[in-house]
Amino acid sequence: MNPTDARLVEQALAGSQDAYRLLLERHSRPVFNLVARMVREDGVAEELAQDAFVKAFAALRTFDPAYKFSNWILRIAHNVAIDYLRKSRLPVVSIDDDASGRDMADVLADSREPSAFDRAVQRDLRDDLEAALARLRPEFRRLVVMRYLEDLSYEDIAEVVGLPLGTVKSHLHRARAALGRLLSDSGWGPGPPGREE
Amino acid sequence: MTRNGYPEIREWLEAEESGRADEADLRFRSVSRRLERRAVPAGFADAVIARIGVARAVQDVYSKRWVRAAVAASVLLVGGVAALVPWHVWLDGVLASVQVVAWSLGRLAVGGQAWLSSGFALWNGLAEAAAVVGRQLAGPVPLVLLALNLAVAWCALGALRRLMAPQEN
Repeated sequence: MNPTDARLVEQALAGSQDAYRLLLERHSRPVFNLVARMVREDGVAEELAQDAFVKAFAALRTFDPAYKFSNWILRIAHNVAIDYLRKSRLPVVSIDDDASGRDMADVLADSREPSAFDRAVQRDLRDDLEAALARLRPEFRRLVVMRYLEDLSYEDIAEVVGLPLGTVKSHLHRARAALGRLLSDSGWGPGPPGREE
Repeated sequence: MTRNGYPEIREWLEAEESGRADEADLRFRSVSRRLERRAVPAGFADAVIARIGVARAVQDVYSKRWVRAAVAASVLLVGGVAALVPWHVWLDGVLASVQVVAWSLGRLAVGGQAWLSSGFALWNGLAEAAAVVGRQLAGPVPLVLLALNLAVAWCALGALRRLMAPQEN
């Protein structure tokens, strides 16, 4: 049976290195994912995610087992990333070009094979979705990552980012609306009938 | 299947536009499954464990009894010696320190004043020199020379353009 996070924290505080390692294995992916999406540089994200864990483990005695460890560590990681963004003043809107190297001409030439075409459309959608997410304001992007990539509840997100529940919901609504606009601009919107790419 | 009217996107955007927030949330969740979950870099856990180890080694130094005893003994020793010093000696010391600080501030003020006045003197000299040069340039001879210069340059430019015209055509 897997020990709970609270139990692992107790064991870590008692000096168990295995407990630290288990906590790391459980939470490193969401922490890294959140930080990487926020700062958009994998090298920096790795360092910041490490910083978050080092800070958390140094302050492990202050962890209140009444709360979720996952929220606690995500909150620390979130604050570390916010500090970095404030210091580096990264541009809010990405001007990244679509660097996926996709070649629609090949796909269109072979349009008699619907499965290949479908795959290309799916890949296109994924690329456009990634690009749209990268262009979101960081305060919206972090919420989208927590909600849709890490499957956090609205309540957990509110706890992590320290915002009221209503604000989290309205920000998520605005974030989705912004993503919708960006995807429509890329040609994914309903558009006029017959207008196809 | 094409971009416009792609079913999942259309359903999501329709839910969004008609204000069905829960449905929009659900629909977008389905769309967002395409987003990549970043993989944790290899060696991440080991790097964190190593960093914690270093931090803990520093903490461990202070957690040893003899180190804590030595620090406590030093503090007691310094405190005891300080307590033995009569209060008027402390007062003299404090007054002497205040005097040193006040004297340093005074020197700083004097130095600053001297620096400012030398700066003003330098700028005064430069301003006078500029005024003399300006007066000379404003005289009739330099103005005529300048006008002559401009006229020659204008003529040269015209001649050059005329020479270049056939080549451009």
